[in-house]
Amino acid sequence: MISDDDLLLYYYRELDAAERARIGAAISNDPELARRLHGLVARLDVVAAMPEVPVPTRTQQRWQAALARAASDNRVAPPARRFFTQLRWQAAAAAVAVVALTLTIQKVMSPSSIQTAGQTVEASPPGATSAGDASAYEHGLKWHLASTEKQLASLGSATPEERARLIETIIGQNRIYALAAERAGEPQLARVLRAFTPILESVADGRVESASSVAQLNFELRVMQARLAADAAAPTNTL
Amino acid sequence: MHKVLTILVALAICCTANAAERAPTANEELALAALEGLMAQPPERALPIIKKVLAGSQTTLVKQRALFVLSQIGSPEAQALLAQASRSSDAALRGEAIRSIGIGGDPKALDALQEVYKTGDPDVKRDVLQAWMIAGRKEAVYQAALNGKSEEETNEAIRMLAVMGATDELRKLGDRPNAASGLVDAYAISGDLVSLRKIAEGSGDRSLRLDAVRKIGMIQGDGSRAALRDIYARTTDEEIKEAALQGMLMSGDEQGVLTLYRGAKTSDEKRVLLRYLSMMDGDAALQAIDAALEGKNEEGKK
Repeated sequence: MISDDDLLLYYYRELDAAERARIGAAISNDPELARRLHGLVARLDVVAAMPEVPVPTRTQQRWQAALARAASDNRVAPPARRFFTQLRWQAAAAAVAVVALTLTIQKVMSPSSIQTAGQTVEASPPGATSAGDASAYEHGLKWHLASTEKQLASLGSATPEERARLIETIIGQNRIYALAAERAGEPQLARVLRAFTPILESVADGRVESASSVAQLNFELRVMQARLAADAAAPTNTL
Repeated sequence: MHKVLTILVALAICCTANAAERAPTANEELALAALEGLMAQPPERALPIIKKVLAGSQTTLVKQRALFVLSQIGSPEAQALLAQASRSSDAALRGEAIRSIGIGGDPKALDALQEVYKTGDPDVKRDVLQAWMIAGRKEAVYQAALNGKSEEETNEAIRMLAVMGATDELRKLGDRPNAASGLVDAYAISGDLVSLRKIAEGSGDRSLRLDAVRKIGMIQGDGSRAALRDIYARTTDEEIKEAALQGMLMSGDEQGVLTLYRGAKTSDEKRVLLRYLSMMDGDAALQAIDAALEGKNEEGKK
């Protein structure tokens, strides 16, 4: 029996050679299994591509709590649990980033109000982002930066197709976060995010040596993370 | 703070060739970690250290990263340093400085890039366009497209407008006589179906019109699919028909081609359409191919 988890591990190339060969062969011989894998990947793609889905208030609150917990959780998982191997973490991070993205974009980009579970909730006027919104935005952005860093780390072991898809996903998320940053009154962050795009495109096109570009992006991501951390700690005293 | 400076100075490496095109060495990694640490410092303490890095014997790669950190400091002194580096004879440093000016977003520094653009070679011009893109300066990129000295230069600016989603500016360029060839790609990238149709159905350069028809297929959605079917159905020009089919192939509109196949009046047309269906390789295509081989129509009648 091959579970959805196994299929996702196969998709993210997080299986040893023997297991990967076994599942690969099973997919080749079983159209139903191939359809299941395709469906799982398509679901992830659809979620990533359509962030502006109305989300009920209760769900938003649950996500916010989960994100807050995740952001403050520094524990290291036991090594015996495969779930927290690097690529699994990336898959989880990417999924949470998508959730965070959804939440963030809805919170930050909603022009006047958001429809939630059958009722309309008035949003703050432009330029007056509430503390909760700012927090959701910051959490979302932190997750985006962290998950991008992880995704970049996996480029080296990805197949050309996976690589292209991964870069396309990062560029898409970047674009949306840049818009969100503009709307949140963070033009500097928006510019940094926009500045990532040409580098990612050059990596995708193979125009530059990818290790150097990935190293550059990683540096800039870490600088931005440090900046966000410094802003949160002492907004008026640091860069 | 002194420790940070000590680390950065101690890690000076003599070999800087191709610094921008390789991953950092272990020593550079340490210097970069020290630069990251500067983000936790107030600007007045970080700036002198960055100045020393830029003036010192660090590798180009470390200096490039220092320029990025500089872009995060909004002070006039930081902007002056970036402006100075944007005129450097070291192409890698110059490029990063121009990019960092875009990231910094200082209006004066961005305006000053006009001069750098005018006097720069194609690489420098591309860097400047990118900086304006990063800073969201549509008007500056539009002017660059308008005043391009060559088609290549104009098309580079047009491509950047497309990346910026500058639909209005691109349309204004399209309204001018002798639309640049880069506009077709730009409209396709920015998803501007209306403008592509305008070129496709206009009376301009024929190769541009054919290209516009094909590139409609790059735009996702029912609107572009309907447009291609419509263009195919209304024209008697074989080349335009072929371009529309290529667009449909690009967009994967198997149902559209199948509909055209069913309505085809001549066997020649059927043969062309069947060739496209076979290239699309979907269920509907297989069904049509099967029927054609059996000598049946779509409903299975001989």
